[in-house]
Amino acid sequence: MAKKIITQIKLQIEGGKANPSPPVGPALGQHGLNIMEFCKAFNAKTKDKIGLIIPVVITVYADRSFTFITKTPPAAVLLKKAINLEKGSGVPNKDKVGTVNLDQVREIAELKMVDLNAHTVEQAMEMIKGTARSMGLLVKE
Amino acid sequence: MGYSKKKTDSWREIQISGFQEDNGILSEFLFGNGCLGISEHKEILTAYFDKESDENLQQKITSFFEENNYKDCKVTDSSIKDEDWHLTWQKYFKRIDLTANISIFPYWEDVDLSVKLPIRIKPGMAFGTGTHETTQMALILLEQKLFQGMTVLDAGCGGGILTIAAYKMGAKNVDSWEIDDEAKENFDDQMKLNDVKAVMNIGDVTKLDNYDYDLIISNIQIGPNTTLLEKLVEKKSKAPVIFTGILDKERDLFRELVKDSGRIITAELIKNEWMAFIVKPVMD
Repeated sequence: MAKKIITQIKLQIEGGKANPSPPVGPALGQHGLNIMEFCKAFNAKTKDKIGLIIPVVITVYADRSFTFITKTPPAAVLLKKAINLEKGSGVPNKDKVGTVNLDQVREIAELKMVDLNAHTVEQAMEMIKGTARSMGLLVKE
Repeated sequence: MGYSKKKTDSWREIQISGFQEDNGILSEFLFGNGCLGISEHKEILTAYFDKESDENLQQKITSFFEENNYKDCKVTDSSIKDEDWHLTWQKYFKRIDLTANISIFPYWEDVDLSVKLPIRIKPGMAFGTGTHETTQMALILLEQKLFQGMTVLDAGCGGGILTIAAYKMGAKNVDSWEIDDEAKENFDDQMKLNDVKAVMNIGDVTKLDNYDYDLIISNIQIGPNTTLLEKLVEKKSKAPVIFTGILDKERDLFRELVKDSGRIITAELIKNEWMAFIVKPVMD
């Protein structure tokens, strides 16, 4: 049956590793949702994404049932993974911490197309390049 | 399941206000500094860390904001006590006394032996919470219309709460149909909890060969309810039907649909914005 939406909860957690600790416990607990059911379903859905940060949006209905959708990892996370970087630059305008090439940018853009507000892969690539520069990466054109 | 909860009495909670979407750059920075997870609500981002994480964390984040032009972001550093969060949700589900005879009990509560028709539920993710208005109205009407020895069709059975109720009220047989196979686990769990033997049929209930039942319950929504109504007319089903899952604002539309089908509405119930109807063929 159609259900009335009460709220949406947005979380970012590691794929395959949801557990009742924060942020899952407090965020879902306050709305009276079955936390173990969420962890079980999320971990099953993201079991091949261990080590990656997965944004998840949980829709909560009036009868305390819920559904969730997982999104692609944030661009910054994928860039870091693509070039095996420990972390982004604390001062990206000054300190460049790595270089990313166009093939890597394209690969990330294609993966993220579903979530990005872009009509073409080229537009998506421009967005990914912007993120790369903001985190202190050089883009090798 | 294979999660291991780290023993701790508290977590560090870093709240960042004034946050604007940034393609994950701030998240990346936070996770790179030991963050365990983030929740976002409006423009507040809350990041959780181990209580023994970097003392200078707040300072590091503030510097990150200054150097990267996060002008409106402010940081607060506090802590949150560990709780049995995997159990806290249970306090939101209490026994519901629906009619003089029917009460719904979450599985962790003991069943009160004075209740004639106790139904035990296992609130899951998408199914089985038993607290939806339409499910409650369907139970009320079921109690009025179901008599010993009847055959019943439960159309859109979900976690099977109406199937359980029908058997407990004396139905001889209940055919339960659900299009969403994800309901099956919850259905099976709830049958076991209530000591009822029933099987969930996975498929489209509007495509059956016949609808020769003594009573039909259709707790779906207006679209499939309409398709089912048409099908019942086509297959000349004589069963009275409890239709629920129809919104108050769809009331007139549904009344029209029933009128056009040549059938009649013999009862209507309303609870909040939801409605339930009993629809019957006109007897010659």
